[in-house]
Amino acid sequence: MNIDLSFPAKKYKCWPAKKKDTDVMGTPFSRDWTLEDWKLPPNWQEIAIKKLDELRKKYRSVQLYLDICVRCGACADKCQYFLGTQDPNNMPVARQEILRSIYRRYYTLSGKLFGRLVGARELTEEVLKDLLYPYYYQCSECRRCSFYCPFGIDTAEITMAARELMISIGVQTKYVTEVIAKVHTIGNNLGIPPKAFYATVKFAEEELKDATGIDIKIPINKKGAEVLLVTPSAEFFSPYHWGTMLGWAKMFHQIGLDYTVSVYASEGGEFGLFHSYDQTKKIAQRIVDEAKRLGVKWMIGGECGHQWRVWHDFMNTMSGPLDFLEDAVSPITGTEFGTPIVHICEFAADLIKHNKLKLDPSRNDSYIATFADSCNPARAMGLIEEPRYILKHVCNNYVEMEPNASREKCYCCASGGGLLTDEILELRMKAGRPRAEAIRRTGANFVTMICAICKAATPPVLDYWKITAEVGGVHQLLGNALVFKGEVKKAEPKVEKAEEVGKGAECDLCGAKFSSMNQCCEHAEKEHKIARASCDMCCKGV
Amino acid sequence: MTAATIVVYFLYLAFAVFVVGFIYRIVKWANIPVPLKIVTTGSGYLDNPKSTRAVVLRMAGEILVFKSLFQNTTYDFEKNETRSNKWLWVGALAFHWTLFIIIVRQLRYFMEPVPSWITSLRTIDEIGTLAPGLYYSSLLIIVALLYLLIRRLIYPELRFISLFSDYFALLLLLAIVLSGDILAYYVRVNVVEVKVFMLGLLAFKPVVPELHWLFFVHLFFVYVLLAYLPFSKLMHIPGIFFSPTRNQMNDARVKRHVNPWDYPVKIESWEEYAKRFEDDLKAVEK
Repeated sequence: MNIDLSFPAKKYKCWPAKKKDTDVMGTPFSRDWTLEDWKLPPNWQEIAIKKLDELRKKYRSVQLYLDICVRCGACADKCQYFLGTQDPNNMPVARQEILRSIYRRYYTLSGKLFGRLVGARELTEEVLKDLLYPYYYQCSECRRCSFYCPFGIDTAEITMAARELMISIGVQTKYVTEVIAKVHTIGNNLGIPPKAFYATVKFAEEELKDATGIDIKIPINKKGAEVLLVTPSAEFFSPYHWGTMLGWAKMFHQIGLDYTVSVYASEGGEFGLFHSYDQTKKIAQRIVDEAKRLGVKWMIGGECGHQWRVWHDFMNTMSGPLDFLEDAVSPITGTEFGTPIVHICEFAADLIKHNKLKLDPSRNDSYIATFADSCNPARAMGLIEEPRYILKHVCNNYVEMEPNASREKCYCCASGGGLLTDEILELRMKAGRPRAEAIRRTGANFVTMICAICKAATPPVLDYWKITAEVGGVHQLLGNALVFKGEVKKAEPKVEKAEEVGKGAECDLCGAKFSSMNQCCEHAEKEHKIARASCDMCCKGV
Repeated sequence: MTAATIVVYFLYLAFAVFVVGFIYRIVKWANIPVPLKIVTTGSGYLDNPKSTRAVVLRMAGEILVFKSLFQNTTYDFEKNETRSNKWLWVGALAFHWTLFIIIVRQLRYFMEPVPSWITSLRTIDEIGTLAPGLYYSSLLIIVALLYLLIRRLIYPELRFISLFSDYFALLLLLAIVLSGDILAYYVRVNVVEVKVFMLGLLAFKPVVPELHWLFFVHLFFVYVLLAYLPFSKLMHIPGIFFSPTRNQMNDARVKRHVNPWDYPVKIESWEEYAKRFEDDLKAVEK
């Protein structure tokens, strides 16, 4: 295996957080800083070292995993960031060693006595700037390495601890904080205010009417509904996700489920997970509070990866007990799920199993579909068979990805964990390769995924490595295959193309006017974090 | 103070450090809360443990046959492909199992009478007339240790992550095994005297025997290893039992896991939110 000792990945550094966002979040040492001038608090070392002590006393995982790694190297070539950059610091074991070396220096006898000899390292400004900051933001917390580790050492736990340590001295990234601040102020990652949210839902309903001839509604803020549905907000606004929303809207309409989405809690995608326990809990709390206010009985969560790490593993702990909810019982099939928190794929697979959906899989005959597992559903909740079950019933040409790159062995899209930001685009393209090549080898022309970050991150990666395949959700194909009584047209939704460049443009989100589409796209990317490729969702020609 | 007393004091001290250190580390881990469910899941009964039985079997698989390591792969940078690779698994399994067999076999020095199953294990393991005094396990462990050492030296990625302590542990083990094999094969140390000495140590009435110097070197290395163990990565032996990603049940949605240091958070309520977006909401809800 080749390693590049010039540490080529050191240069990939996310942009620093802005004061306006960290103020909203209430994190310490909120300030505007740059990668040239970090404006660290004078006693930052002391604070950070104390924070490390606090973390190792709060999390058994942190203390244990700092202690027991034997550096066998089984994890080394499991990380897409190492495979993409060949920077040895991106091997999970080396990534952990960054924090472990600091732990050794300050909290172990041998480290205090023997220093470098036993791999102990002083926490200097250089260590913070060239090791902690870049490399712990080149980990997507995908936990692929943890699956291969003979002790189950979870690099994500170490990464989260290192990020909390940095947050304690006000060092955090712009992308993650900006998104979290939007959730706190507006309710979703994309920053879609209520007015625009209603408008986009109306737009979707019109599109569904055009495609099927049937009035399909997406209820919003409906008090007393049976189910609260929370999906990543991207489904309401970006092309690779849009079809998924149309898909589940059609499905719920066909079975007549009494559900509602919410404006206040319009975000499933949990960016708190990339930040801290505190922020994770705050974002989860928002959803639980809303479920209580609307008086729903149980909740369905959409196609989202990080949402499910939190919903499945953490929500009941952080925002529970969820005793005001009832254990979900499918009103259509009578299946008892044994929990109030149900994944949309579990729900849909159950419907299909009981033959409650009218499906015509030949409507997806133009696709050779494959399913690229997303890290968190696979490795944090064990949701592996359900999406496959759905796909096998809604399309005729389904191919599996190779076993070493799918199911619990799936690679990350390389943009999870708060890395879906364009200043490290080069890193994301390189690290996206292992998964992209596995997709290429399937020969599929449609890749389904059940994570909003996967869906947003994969199209440019496929494009970069010259792989021609569409990207979408499982429920997009399910929606395509749904047959309605009295429908008018073949139910294949089309995404409208943006107007020609050159004419004036207007941003649908905030109403700002621009002299060209290009400028509007630039604005959408900067202000609303909508990728350039998807700016036609909010920029309309005028 | 004679040399013999120094030896005896050292052995007791090293052993005390081992016992106290080992227990201290375990108690320390056990007293740290596990705030969240962080189980790693996969497909199948074992990797998606929904019952205590499944967790026990999963842990047994990890400890007895290194289940996770068995799934190890290697990445082919030419073809950008992930391929199965079991060498590390073979090497690690060979080393740990032979070490375990050797330790069990040598329990006969500390027990009187010797349980019959230890004697049977010896009989199976014995090479016999070809190499009297030697055992398959004590030769195989050298091969395994050399493999583990050489891979650290020749693979650049392993050289990068290997610390002095990684080499130290391997070299110390090699020294123990080699000195032990030489004692058994060439020196043919008087095992009866060794046993009397060991039983004497256990009974706190040690009489240091007149044995070949290499025996004391061997013994010294063993006790250095024991004393070093609680301060080192070798704590992975008890550590794996505590690993939350492996020993937890995948039932967080069904059974509430409680975080002892959890605290309430304050977020903007719906009422405050609705007030801030009053105009927006009025416009659309009419």
